[in-house]
Amino acid sequence: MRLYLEPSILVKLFKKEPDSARMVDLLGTIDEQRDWFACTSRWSLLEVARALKKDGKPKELVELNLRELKRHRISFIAVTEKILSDSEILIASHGIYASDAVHVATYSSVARVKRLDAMLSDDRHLRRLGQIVNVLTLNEVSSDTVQS
Amino acid sequence: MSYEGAGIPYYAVYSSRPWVPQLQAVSVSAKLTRREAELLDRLTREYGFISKSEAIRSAVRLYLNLLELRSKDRLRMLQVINELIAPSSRTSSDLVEEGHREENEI
Repeated sequence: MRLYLEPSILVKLFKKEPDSARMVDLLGTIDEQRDWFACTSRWSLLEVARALKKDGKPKELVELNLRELKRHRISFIAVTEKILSDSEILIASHGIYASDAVHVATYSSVARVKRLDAMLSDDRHLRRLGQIVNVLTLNEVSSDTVQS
Repeated sequence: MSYEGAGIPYYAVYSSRPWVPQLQAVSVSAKLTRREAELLDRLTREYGFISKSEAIRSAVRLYLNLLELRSKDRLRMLQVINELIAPSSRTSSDLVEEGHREENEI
């Protein structure tokens, strides 16, 4: 499977939540199996850092978590002028948050080249954009496909 | 003596015995804050380490061992560390969503 990982999914890696173990398994699968692929925006690192800081994690732990995130087989896609322009259009037409717009625009910019199947997200706002982006939750990524 | 060829950053690592051709060990210095130094003093005493160096050596080995674990084990360990150091009942979605709202308010 080839996935775009949205920040709400990435933050799960560093928290104990009902489906955070599933996320660890998924990333393990991405690391180990060549037919799996994952990417996200470079911007996601900032959102993850912000979320962890808001969660009360000390600076050293936030830095360690970010280093950990960069160690895996996740491609970080640069935020280009084109992505920013597309994000502006998405905000104007769909009234979504700026960060969500950056992710949708990034997904759209690489979806064909990287042959993405879906964006993995827990963000309910992105569900509204079903015509632009195929959004899946962790529960929808079949447990059969992810090796524990 | 240069370590560049061996891929070791020469500016951070100092030989404890620079005249020995085959190094058995290297000394690495690190600056600590006053609070960290006090914590190191206290924990060295409490845990019965021979010296502060021994305590730091153990801490570094433990940390490096953690980073060397296989991917899934490392992530599981990090989850536990995160929850122990800063436990929280807030979900990932809520935290990211809150960040989005704040950014939009700016």
